[in-house]
Amino acid sequence: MTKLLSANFLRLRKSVLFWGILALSFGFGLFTVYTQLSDKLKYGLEVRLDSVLFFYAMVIGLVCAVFISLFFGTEYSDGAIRNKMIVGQSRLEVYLANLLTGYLVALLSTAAFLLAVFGLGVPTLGSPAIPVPAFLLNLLGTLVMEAAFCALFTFVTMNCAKKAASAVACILLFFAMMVASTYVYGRLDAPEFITGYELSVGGEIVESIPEPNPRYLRGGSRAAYEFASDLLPTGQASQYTMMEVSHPVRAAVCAAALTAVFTAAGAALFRRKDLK
Amino acid sequence: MRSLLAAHFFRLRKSALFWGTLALSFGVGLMLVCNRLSDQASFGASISLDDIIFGHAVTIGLVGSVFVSLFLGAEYSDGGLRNKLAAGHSRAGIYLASFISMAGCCLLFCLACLAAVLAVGIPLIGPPSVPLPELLPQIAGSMLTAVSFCALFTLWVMNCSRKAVSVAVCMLAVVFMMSLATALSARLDQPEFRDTMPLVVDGEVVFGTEPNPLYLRGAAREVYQALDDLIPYGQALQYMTFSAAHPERLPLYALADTAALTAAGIALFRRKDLH
Repeated sequence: MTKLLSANFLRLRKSVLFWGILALSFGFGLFTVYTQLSDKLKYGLEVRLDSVLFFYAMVIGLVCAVFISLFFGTEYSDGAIRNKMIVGQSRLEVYLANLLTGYLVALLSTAAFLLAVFGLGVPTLGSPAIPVPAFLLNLLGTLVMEAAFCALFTFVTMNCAKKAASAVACILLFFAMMVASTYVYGRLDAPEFITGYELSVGGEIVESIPEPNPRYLRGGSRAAYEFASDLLPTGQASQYTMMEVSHPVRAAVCAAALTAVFTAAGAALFRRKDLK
Repeated sequence: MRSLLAAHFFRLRKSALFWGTLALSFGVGLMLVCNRLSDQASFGASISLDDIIFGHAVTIGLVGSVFVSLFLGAEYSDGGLRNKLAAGHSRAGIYLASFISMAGCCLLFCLACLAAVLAVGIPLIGPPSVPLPELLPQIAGSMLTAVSFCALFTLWVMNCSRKAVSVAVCMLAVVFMMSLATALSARLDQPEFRDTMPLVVDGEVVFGTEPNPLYLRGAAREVYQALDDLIPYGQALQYMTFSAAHPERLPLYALADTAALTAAGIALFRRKDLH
């Protein structure tokens, strides 16, 4: 496995895709701080670095989808997977080495984003107000979420011999999850009561009697939607981005469970795959 | 060129990708109607066909990016392009035939989505509230937007010999345009004045207003508006939300996009090393 990992790292060092992703992640970090800074300078808005700290969580899924499908899809088109088998590596080791390499790239992309955000953000917007333990907890949560994304896309890529089909499937899968989690979040975000303003008898403006919101989810359906939001990696991504994680432990457990399930299923399917 | 087009249409007739995408587009139209009906049934929301009649304009970007990159990308991987050149066809002819056939497909996908929305939506939701003479030019304009999306994807795919890279780049281009157009329209939609806390004046509730610092004025507004009009996804969003500031300009921008992208694509493809 060490040899497989070092072979992957050697490929990474020479990969334009890898360096491009790192540069884009760094650039995205700079851009998010710049937009906050621009709002502050132009419109005098109160902005804090906290609001952009976890923006990477929204895009890391897309980064993983593109990188894993293109980088490991090439192994099929170039016949490298067969070569690894011929030199005696087991299929499980090949699968795990690729999963770990994909995860490492996700971690490095996150590090590049945070480096840019802290590098430009702290001198211009000030230090974030979030306490260090809360920051670390959120960061840890996003790292487990990234593992779930990598497991999912490695599952697709390692079991699909066509690189273009892998790329389409991974990117569309990410979009489908994004649409689903946006819908779930929209339903959960509906307020329980709707209030307005009305004029009281005394001539003062008071809030009207709250009316129940028909869109508000209650009981079992609310619990089901909350679970879906914690289970979907993109649902977790929305929560981490806004630093509003309702059930941090459950979200992390869901991500870890997804990682385990997709890795086990992916490795089992890959063992039986006809590599021609 | 006629034989090149005939070859494309022959391939299309036998292509599972083409028929699958056509069925998917029809399915997207049905899903849009079902989604609105579900909102009405669950929450008693008032719904109108206007909300979804331009669903094809916002979905054709993603649908077209996958279809064009996979269908045309296969010509590189299967050596179809070299065969066409060997048969004596000019590069410009090959490019134009590819673009025309892909534009035709994108129009068919849009029509399939629109047909589903109208066929199921009119009986169940009711006809659109926008008068037909106003609606038809906008539908025609949205079709030109679909063609401009297609011109963009054709430019990239015909100049990139790696099918998987083409797929990823085209899809990411759609994501980028989507984000840019959403950001632009969010800034353009800012109200000029914003409400302050309600006050009571002579026994009546009065909502005061103050200038909104986020409202764009002067040249900045013009630049944002021009960019929003220029980007195909910006055009699509404006059709979808009936929020076009200059509806008469959008088809012209779409035509200009198509012409510029096709000219650039042909120029690059002429110089491309096809190995």
